[in-house]
Amino acid sequence: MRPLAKGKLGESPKQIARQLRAFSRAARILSSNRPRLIEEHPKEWVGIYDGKVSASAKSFKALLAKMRKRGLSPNDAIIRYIDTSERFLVL
Amino acid sequence: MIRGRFGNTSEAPFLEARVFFPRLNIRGLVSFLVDTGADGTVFMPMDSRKFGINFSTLRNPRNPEGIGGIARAFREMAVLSFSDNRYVYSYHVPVHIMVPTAHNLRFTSLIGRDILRCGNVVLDIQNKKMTLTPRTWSLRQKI
Repeated sequence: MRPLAKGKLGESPKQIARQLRAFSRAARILSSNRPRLIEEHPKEWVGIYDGKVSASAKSFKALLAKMRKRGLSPNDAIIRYIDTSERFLVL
Repeated sequence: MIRGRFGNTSEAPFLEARVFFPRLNIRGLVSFLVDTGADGTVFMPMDSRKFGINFSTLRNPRNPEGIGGIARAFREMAVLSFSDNRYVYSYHVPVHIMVPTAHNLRFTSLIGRDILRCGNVVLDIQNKKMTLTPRTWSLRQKI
């Protein structure tokens, strides 16, 4: 791990903490609202921003386009595929 | 203490971080799967595409190995930042940016032992509690 000088993050600690708080809230929607997401967006990509599903689409590319069209930055959103199958993952 | 979360159905532990690639001048937010089996942090195509990373600008090709065999990736320095609402802890580490394939678009990025060994990790699956208490860091800043 390399040391890091102050000012090398591009934003202030306050800004970073605020972004992380909002993003963590959005991420928790995935954890707490999974049944509803499966019901409303089965086999779709969803973008969660500012605590709600801001866009959904059948493909990842279409989702990014939709988000950008609405003036939302995908970089700050949580994006997931709502999988209805029970895949067995070994990562 | 940085708090993570557990997936509702998967019961997999996740930790949210801000990621900044200084050389590429790209930043964004990522929900990482906490993976004690990963030697280092891995950036999957779902997030590299979200960030708009242009693979033709990447250097340092690598071939990380996993249960699925040998993969293709690029090694890039990144700054991962976490917050416990009192401080922002930042880690300047190399991450592996995986090359997209037909099978890896839906996989989540992984946070590996390069970060996890910098603190005390609690993974309490029964009580759905995931925390990281940092002990070392590249930079710690008060909010």
